[in-house]
Amino acid sequence: MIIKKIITGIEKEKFSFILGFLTLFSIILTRNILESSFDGKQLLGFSVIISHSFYMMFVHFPLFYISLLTWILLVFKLLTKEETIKIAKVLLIGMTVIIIAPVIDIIVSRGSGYKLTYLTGPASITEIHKFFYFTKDLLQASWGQRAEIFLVLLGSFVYVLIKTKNYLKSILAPIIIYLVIFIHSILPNTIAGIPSYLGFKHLTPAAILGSGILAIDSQNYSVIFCISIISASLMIALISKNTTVKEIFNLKAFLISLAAISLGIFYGLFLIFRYYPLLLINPIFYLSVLLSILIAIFTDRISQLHINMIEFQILAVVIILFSISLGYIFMLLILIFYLFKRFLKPNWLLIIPLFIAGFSLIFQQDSFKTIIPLKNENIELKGRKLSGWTYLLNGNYNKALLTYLKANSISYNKEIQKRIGQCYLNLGRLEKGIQELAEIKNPDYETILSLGQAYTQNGKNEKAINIYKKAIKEGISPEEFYVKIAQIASRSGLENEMNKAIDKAFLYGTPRHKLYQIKADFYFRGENFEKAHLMYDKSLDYNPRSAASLTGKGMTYYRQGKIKEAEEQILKALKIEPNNDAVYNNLGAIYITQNNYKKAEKAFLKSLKINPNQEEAYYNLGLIYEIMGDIPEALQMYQRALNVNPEYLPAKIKIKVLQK
Amino acid sequence: MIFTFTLPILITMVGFLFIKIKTPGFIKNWLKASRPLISLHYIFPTILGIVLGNYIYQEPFNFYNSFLLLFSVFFSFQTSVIINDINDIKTDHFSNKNSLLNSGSFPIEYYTFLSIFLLMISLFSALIINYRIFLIVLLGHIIHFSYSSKPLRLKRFYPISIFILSFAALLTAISGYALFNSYKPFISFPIKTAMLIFIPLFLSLSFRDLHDLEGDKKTDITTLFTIFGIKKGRHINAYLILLSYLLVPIILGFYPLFIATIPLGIASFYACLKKPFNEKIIFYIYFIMIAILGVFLHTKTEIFLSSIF
Repeated sequence: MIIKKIITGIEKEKFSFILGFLTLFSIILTRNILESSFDGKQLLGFSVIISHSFYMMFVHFPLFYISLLTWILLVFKLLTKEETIKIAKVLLIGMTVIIIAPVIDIIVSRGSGYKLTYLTGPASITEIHKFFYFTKDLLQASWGQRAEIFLVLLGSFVYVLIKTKNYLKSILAPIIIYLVIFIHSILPNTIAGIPSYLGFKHLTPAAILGSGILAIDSQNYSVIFCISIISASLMIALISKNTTVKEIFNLKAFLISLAAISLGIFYGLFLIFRYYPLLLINPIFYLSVLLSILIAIFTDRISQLHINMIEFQILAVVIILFSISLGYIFMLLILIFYLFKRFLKPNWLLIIPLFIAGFSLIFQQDSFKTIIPLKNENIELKGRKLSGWTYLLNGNYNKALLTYLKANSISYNKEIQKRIGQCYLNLGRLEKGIQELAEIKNPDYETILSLGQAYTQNGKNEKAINIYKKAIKEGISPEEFYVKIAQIASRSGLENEMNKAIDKAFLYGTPRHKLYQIKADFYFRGENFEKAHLMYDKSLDYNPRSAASLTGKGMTYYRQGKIKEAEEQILKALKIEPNNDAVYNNLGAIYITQNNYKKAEKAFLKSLKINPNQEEAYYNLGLIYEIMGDIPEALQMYQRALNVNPEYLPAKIKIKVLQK
Repeated sequence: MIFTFTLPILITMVGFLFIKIKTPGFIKNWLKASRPLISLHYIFPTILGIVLGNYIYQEPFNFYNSFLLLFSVFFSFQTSVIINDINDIKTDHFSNKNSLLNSGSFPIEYYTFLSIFLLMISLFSALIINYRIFLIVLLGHIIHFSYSSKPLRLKRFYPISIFILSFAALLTAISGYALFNSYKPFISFPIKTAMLIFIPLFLSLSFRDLHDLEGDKKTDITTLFTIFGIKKGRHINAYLILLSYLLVPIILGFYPLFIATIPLGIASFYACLKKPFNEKIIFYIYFIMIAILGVFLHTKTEIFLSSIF
């Protein structure tokens, strides 16, 4: 009765669309800021790269929630036949529930927060029960998230029951809404992952520094949610028999706009195709094209139709949010198009901004440089950068290197040089990679990270520490680089340096569990197992989900000869991070000690499936095959270890011995 | 740096000049109702955050950024005051005759425009410092918006309303602190100081609702006084204020401070019960407390910090 009264009160509440939208945006932003501020791994604003953070905060996640909201609205509309505006008001207030998740996570993790990510795609379909699978602690479902989803489902049950007094419909509502939530959490990676069937695991076209088709993953995901929102909204409009839809989709009226934007897209595609043919196998490209056409249609129509105020406001918001998803340039040109259409007499003029907008879908911020192809170099440079980045993301470092070298011959660029350095590093040519990266003046965050890792791999720990210290001095990510320094110092046995860095890292907000884990690793290496256990326990006390601490604890047991306990800890770590190759390697080592070679083989194969560039894992597999008497297979594994790292001595020795 | 620093100030001056020419008397009218005492209440935590950040990270003090932040926080508060007044127009009609809009001299649209202008100034100033400070200031605006504006209008629900105001004050302290560590200011902000700001304010802020009682009753806003009635509410409020003063030394773990907090707490207690109720006295005692804390902040900063492990 009370709930019914509350719902009626909310339905009667009078406020403007803009106020409602601002409230929705406020709720979403509060959740995002809270979640990212306390997230154990990430920074306030999600990313060190501001443009990336901006998209996540203000475009991508709002679109995600709006999409979710629109679909839930559709479900309620179908089940209750209630007025759309009334459902929307209740949903808007109900949305406050999303603030609960980060708050619970902050409390449960004692201030660290959890990193929530999308599921990995179609493979996750087996994890459909994941949010309520209480016996297993899966990586991406935090307690806050579970509480939030539970409340949404409970709310939907109660709402439909109050509105329909039909138990069947009330039970159906949470089931459908659960599916909607689940599909939303696998949708981005599922669509982005379609090209993986063609051998391209990562084809989010350009990436942060590739400055390409869509600049970052966040934009790609945004496009998916835009299409999702449009689909759900159209269905709601059709059910409501809204006449505006018919008016908007009047083919004759927007034919010129459609032609202009399509022409721009085709022209851009024609120019880039020679250098970046992979664009055509990217599903998000097609979704972007579809979205850009829809935006053109919406803009065309709102500038001409006399639709009522609320519909005008909704469409205006839709256009702004959706067009940012396609890039700043696109948004700007759509705005110009609107103004032309509204205030300029000659109709042919409106073709220009739309044509460039279509073109900008492909060339983004380089659009004005490339639209008149006076210099083929600009287009080639763009295409090569995009190709190089795609190859690099997919682990094809040879092709990536060749492509980037070609790009470099056209024009020197800090970003290209960084990619060349990274290619060399990934190809095992550490010295060359270091040389390339060290030459870059005023290195950015990513360059420092790659260079530091390369120095560490090369055994030049002092140089790595120095480069991180230099970055800290310049104010680049101090909280992360202090941790790096502490880790290197811990590995090198420099206790004082480690402690100093840990103290500083703490001041910059590094979660305590991470710092205790670094200390524990130090004692583990120094074979002070008692202290190591103590520190790992403290770390796990602060974050029982720390896979690194669980693994460390497991390996401490292993070194103490307590194999059963070791296995237990490692298996716990794997439940939390099922895609951690290093943990599988440790598990393999434990099984070898237990003489359980079949299980050990399985663990190493799994590890190599996740990360094929591990000489040690191949070497261990070789050892297993050798013990099992399969010498040709063992030899093959040792050879593979050498393929990964030609300098890997244990494999060289084994090959020599076995060949004798 | 100096150019970017002066930009928001210049824009503000030009904006005010424009308003002054277009609508004479409007700025004066706004300044009259701008609640300078409560503005200070937001400025203090910001300064506390700046001092703590400077002490912890031992980084050079940046005057420009600190000034811009205070500028941003001040205008953020002023925006919230106007938005609150616009939304409260119904309530204040009953009780707060001195509020901005009840004066009736200027149409409501003028104030909406002014709030948007101040909001932009506040956000722009924060953005000039850096992106993450901008996010914190934006969060402050969101909190105030949800507090006073429809459809959420959280000020209707006690004690959520007080929780929000206390959190907003804590947020301003975090924004000051974030000048030195904008990466993870929420996690690294000293927990003791966070409690020092949040808990006493949460306990004591109810007194602000006393003069709006009639209006609150008629517009279904729940406060300590609408729940318990004026007599009981006053007593509960007085005890809560006393408790908040007594908690300060306990939170800081610095017991000599009782020498100051006990008399100040008792003074506030009686000020709450005194008829007619004068909000200003509570504020003056609060400022004395702030001044004492300021002295300790300068001489014994370590009492505001938590130990590392």
